[in-house]
Amino acid sequence: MISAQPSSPLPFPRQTLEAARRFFRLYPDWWCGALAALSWSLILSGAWSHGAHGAHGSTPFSRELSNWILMVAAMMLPLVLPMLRIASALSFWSRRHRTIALALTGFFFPWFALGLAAAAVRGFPWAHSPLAPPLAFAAAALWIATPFHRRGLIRCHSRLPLAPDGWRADRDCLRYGYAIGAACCASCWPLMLACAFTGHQLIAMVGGFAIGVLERTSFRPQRRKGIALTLTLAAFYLFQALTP
Amino acid sequence: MKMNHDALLPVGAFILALFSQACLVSQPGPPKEVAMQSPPSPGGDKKPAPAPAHAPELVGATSTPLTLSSSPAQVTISLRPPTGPASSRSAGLQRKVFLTVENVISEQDAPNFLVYLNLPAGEDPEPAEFFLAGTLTTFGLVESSVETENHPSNGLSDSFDVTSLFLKLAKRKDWDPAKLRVTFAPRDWDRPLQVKVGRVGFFVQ
Repeated sequence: MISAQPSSPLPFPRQTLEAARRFFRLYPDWWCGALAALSWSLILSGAWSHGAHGAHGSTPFSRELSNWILMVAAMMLPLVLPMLRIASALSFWSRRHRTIALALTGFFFPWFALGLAAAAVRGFPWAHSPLAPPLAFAAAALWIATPFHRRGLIRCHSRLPLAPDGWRADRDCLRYGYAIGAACCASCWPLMLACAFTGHQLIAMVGGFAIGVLERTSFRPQRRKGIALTLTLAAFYLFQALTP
Repeated sequence: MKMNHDALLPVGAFILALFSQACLVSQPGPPKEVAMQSPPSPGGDKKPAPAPAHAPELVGATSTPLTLSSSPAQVTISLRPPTGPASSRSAGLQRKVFLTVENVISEQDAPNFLVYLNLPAGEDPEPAEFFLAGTLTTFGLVESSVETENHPSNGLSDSFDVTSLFLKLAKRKDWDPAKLRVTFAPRDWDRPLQVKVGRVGFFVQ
């Protein structure tokens, strides 16, 4: 009887290289994770240096829009990584990064359109009122209670058939990203608007991200927990508005 | 209002913890349907070789959706050699081949479909056991095609381990490694039938 030879462990540098190679093979969306981490680090450094001065002071439209995009990249990219990974797994090996890039472009398109609207709304003086953030979070909590939010959340897990190659593949990747992005927008737009009303404060974004993680990663609907967390944010900003 | 810098440290740690959770929640690798493996066929090897430890790689798929009706439908898929991890074969590891049928949707009930590979033209599908890849079951088809508060309208997806059939077909004279025909033949059905298949694909692991 021939017994199996025990496999000898690889030497240290080769073992590390092999582990890195395995990681990059299994996670072709690694660079999206890196983009999200970069966005969070930029937000953290901004919060560190500026505090929350953007909450009640008016900011230029372009600055407002860039803050919105940074916020979407930080909060939404980690949530959409599994979908991007699925899209790349359903594509040819040589196209996996292109698939992710196109799906990501499609994903950001509805968010960018919403960002334009949000930046325009922030141009009005009432959007800088101290009561705007708590009211927006309260509205977001109400939205979570509606079936529209749940439908949007469910659509975030949509799967579209992707053509393997050629212009059809590019189109399908864009369409897939757009479908996921539009569903995300439909599900989370009041929460993101509320975060924008705070002047993209770190507390609001961390809270919003926590709600997103809770809703996306749970098999069962987490409606009550989502509402409770959103109302907590509303209470926090109401307290801030009422205290001199 | 000025932010307390010390308060940012636990917040930063919280962000990192949440981010790592979001990254870890989904396991790496291919979609569930792709990774699923059928039980070994009765005529297969008694001792199956270990499967490679990397994700299956797409080698061919349809570009447009396919409509199935009451008569057998056939689609030809162009295959290309794998260029990723599946292209390098380790000693002792058997390459596996999977046929995937994705996003099958229908508004009406439908029968199960027999799925064949390279079924010769004019051959009666029913007794052609040699070319049979598997049965596409349609249980829950209508329900999965309609969006509800609990699931999107993705339809059904299935995968078949066609490794042993692939090896048998490769020994035939009419074998073309660059093209493969997939035939869907409905079981007995006397009602109107219209089933849409989003994509048919081949993966190699």
